[in-house]
Amino acid sequence: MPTDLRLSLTLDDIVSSWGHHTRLTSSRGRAMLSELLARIETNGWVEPKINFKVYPVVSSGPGWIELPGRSRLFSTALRHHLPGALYVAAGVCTIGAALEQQVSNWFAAGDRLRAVLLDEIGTLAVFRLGDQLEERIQAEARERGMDASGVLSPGEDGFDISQQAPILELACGAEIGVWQTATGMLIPRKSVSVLVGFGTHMPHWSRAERCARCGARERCPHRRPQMIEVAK
Amino acid sequence: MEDHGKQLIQHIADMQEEEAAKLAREMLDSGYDPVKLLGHCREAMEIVGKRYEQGEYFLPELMLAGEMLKAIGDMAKPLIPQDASDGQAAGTVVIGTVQGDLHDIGKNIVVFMLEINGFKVVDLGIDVPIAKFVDSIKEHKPQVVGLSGFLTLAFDAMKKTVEAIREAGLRDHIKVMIGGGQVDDTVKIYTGADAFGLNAMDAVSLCKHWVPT
Ligand code: B12
Repeated sequence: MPTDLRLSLTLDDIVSSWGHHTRLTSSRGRAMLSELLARIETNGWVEPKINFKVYPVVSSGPGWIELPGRSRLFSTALRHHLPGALYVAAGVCTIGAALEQQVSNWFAAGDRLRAVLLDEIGTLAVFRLGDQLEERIQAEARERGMDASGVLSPGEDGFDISQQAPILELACGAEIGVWQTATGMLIPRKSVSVLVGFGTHMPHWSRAERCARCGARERCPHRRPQMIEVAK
Repeated sequence: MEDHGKQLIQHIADMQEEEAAKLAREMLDSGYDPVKLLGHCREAMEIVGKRYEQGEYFLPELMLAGEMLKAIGDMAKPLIPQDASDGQAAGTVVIGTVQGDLHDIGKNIVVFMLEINGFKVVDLGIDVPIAKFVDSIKEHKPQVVGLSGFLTLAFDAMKKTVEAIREAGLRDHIKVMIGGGQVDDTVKIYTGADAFGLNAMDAVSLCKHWVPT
């Protein structure tokens, strides 16, 4: 799997992801962000890793697809979002456990502003890494002479979290140190899993479109045009 | 002096940390009523909360404002006569992200805001087993229990946690608030909680309402 992942986040990326009119322009806020970016670099707190595998679709029906070895994925989203997929790519990405460990340490020590800032940088980093994962999967589809659908993640509307287990297994998460709890939560926490369909004329949707149809949209603190811009 | 009050509110609301601290110090040094000064801080925090809700501010601003409040509170509280502020926590809250969910930053912010507002908070962390909530309630005897969860799946864990609290005979002594994700009145009824909150400010208001100081 690719090792040349770059997650070069800058101070401007972060500040603009929070909205251009953010008032976190106080010298302390900015200084803290710069300090955190430097510490992430020095301490290797972000260790980006991605993995994905491609499988042929053996058969499909309303709300399910079958892959080799009789493994089946179930979701009402499949028919609508991956119509006629010939292959699917199951993928997972993570920034590793070091950053979240540091966030916990700082929270426990009462250094909460630092903890929240680092956590937000971590979230932005996974979003970015997720985009890189999607790009690699798209490139793989092109190499196979097909096009790739947009990204579906278990737990999203219409794609039950119960499908996290098979997806993580198909993506061989263990190869990059990602495993899951009994309820399908990924460890390290700053990880995301995806399913993408390959075929001809696959429907594609961007992160912005995904965001637009998310049920949590109205209340989402990340629902900022700038965030979507940065994530793109 | 009234102008100073307004100025202080503005400094805090506008994230002018150094100016806010300096002005608060000056006001207290020149004999300004510390209780009144804390009132200004609360007013400023409400403005910050509104700006956050409207998307003008993001999480860091909320935290920064909280830190300013804490710093100013630390200056003002020693000047308040003992009977007006007996140094006791406003109340105890046991809180955690329910079993099966790992999204915790929302809960952490709630913890922070409750602490700033004088509550003792026992934070049980993430993916908290039901039994751990029950044990912690027995140990810490909180007035309020907060259940956080961002996944739809978390609603079942919230319901089971509330049921277990009831089965342990502890439900009548506490108020349960839920938050995170898509909580609403239906989820509140489903889980058997007393109330839901959309943000950290709601959590503080609920606790203040239930545990009057
Ligand atoms: C950031 C985020 C992530 C990050 C970081 C997670 C982490 N632990 O650090 C990353 C990208 C890693 C992630 C991954 C995943 N996520 Co996620 N994530 C989010 C996102 C965008 C924001 C959540 C958040 O942290 N908000 C920040 C807080 C501070 O904001 P807030 O909600 O305003 O917080 C306030 C309230 O919640 C309230 N509050 C919170 N707790 C409490 C408690 C009480 C008592 C009260 C009164 C109030 C209260 O007060 C807070 C402060 O004001 C949400 C979308 C959303 N709109 O919520 C999805 C979301 C929660 N994630 C989701 C999913 C599915 C996942 C994944 C399973 C996807 C996947 N297949 O990979 C993974 C699982 C990760 C894992 N480890 O297993 C879904 C859940 C769907 C559902 N309804 O079940 C959501 C809704 C997105 C979506 N629609 O797809 N996620």
